[in-house]
Amino acid sequence: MKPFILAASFIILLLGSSSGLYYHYIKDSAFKKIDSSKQWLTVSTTHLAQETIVNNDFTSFQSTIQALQQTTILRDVQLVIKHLFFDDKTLLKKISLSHEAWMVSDVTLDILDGEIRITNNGKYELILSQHSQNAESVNIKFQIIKDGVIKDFMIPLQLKKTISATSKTDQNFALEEINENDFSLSLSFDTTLNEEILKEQLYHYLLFFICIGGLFTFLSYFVYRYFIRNSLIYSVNELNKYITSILDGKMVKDSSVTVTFKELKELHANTLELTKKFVNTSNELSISRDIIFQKERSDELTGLPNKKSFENDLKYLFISNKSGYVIYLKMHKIGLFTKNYGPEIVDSLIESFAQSIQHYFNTNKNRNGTIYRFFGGEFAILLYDTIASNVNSFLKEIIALTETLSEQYYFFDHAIYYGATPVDHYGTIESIIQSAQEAYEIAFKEKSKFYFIVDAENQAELNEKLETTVRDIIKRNDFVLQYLHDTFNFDSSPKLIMQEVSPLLIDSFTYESIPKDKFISVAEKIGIITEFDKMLILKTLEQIELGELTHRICIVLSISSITNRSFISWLETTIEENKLMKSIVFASVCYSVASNHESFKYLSVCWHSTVLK
Amino acid sequence: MLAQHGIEMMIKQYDPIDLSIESLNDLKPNYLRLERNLCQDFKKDSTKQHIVKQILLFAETHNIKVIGDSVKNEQDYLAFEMLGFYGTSR
Repeated sequence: MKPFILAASFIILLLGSSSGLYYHYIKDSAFKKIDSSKQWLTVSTTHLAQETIVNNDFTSFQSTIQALQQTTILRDVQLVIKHLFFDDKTLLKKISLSHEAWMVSDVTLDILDGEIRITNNGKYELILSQHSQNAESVNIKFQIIKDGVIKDFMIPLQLKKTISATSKTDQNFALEEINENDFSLSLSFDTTLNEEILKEQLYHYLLFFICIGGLFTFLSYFVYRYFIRNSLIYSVNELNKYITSILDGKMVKDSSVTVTFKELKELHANTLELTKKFVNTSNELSISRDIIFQKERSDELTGLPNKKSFENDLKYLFISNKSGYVIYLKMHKIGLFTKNYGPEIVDSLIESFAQSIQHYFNTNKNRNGTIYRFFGGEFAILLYDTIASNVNSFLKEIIALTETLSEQYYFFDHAIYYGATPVDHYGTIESIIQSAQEAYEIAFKEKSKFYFIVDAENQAELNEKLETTVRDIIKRNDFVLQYLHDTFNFDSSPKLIMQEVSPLLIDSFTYESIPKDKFISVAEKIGIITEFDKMLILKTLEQIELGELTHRICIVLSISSITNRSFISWLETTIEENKLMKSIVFASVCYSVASNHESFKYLSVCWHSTVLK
Repeated sequence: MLAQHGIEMMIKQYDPIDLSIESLNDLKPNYLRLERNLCQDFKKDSTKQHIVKQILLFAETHNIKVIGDSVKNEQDYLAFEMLGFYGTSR
């Protein structure tokens, strides 16, 4: 807005000052024009007066002066003759006779009016007496003679002529007198400026200025809008595309970016340098991060993925709803081996074992699985197979394979037992590992075939019962809240700042506690988790209202609820109705967020805007 | 809408291996509760220290409060306090 005000002020100032200057200029020009006209009129009138005196023809003088009065600034004119020279021709012309046929003689004048002298060139000179100095005219007497006929004449010779201008105004103008030898000429001029004409000129100037200014502005805008701006936007967009490509991790060749402005070219060059540095740093950091992450997720001795990696893969098995078997295996005599043969031999044994299993998976493409080293002689295998008989044959092949290790390590004989369990999608990582470990214990105790596989059908039956229990709990809203993960700040006397709500879920038939994660998995699978999450929020709000909770309460919401639009709408309504909702912090587990990144990204946009509403 | 009403969001069990730090830019959480494993034996493990410092650096610039989890060791607790954690569970 400010630039517009400044521009408008500048235009008004420019218009005002230029108008003032222009008015001064046209006024000055008008005065000069009047002066010039005055000079020209003075010269012309003087010349005309001389001619009039010679011819003594005031009729022509009058008509010419009147014409000038109408068309110029000339106003009152008075011609007074002081010395008059005339000849026969003039006298005869006055009586309308030809001077060639008649002879003039005895030209006289009344003595009171003056006298007439004859000059050397034969002309008559009229010398007026003091008495006739201001006379309008004098009478001249003369005779004309032709063929003995004499005629007397007396004609007036005009000496003074005043021609007043017919003016619409009564304004009088000062007379300027021009004294010559033979006559005196008094002239007056209308030197008043015509303000109306000046204003009209000023108005025309302003109109012209506005028109030119408008045209210039329009042309400037047109040039800016369709040439400069387009070119600028094109260049900026090109740069923006280039930077976006870099941000997206795509390196674009320098030549592919076309920039038209010199300044933008410099900016582009600097951006290029900056992005090169950024890419180099980013690559270095990525390499460092990959090394760190690799270190975090792998076993140093064997290079196998470690327990954390196993847990991660198992999480993604849950999330992707895939099935498989978890096989827990353990070299139970590892401690004894270390004691008897030293850690180096045992490490070599473990490495050989890991390599042989990995080699097995690499060569048998029909077996899809991964082996992980937990700790010491503890390993796990994630086998992506759902058929129990296939797991059975796999374990037999693995046992046969490991028997070959005895050839290299003579002390190694049937030292590994295996426990396999199907991946229970209602279970937790801990419960699945526990199930596989229990199967291992059975195999270890029986010692008959070195492995034990948990019956998948039995597990399915148990899950069906669990589904009924979960439905029953949610239907009756039958659970109480407990608070875990007490989080304190770092004050000198730490203050409780946050707790996490954890429902206490009891099976009403067996009176056994149902793990929360298991309960949520089941509720999510049978499609009633959103109802449960609502109940959880409302129960928490009740307790906050009772004043039992003064700190922040964290509620972990399921993915199904978070990505459910009607649930979010319900949440918004509840927030508007209950201000205590501000005490609640809604949480999601990191790996769930990672697996549903796009949904969470959309949720984040909605969370921070009114889009959803 | 929810954020306007002061409702906050937290990502728990946060581990940059699962979810990269850059991804947090899109998600804009208010809190991060770190994965337990990252918080335990923190002082003994330089890799964990490096990872946690990177998280804190990002969190500071994006106004995210970082919370520790199950900090058992007193040295780890003091280190978290020094690093500017918002809070921790023990």
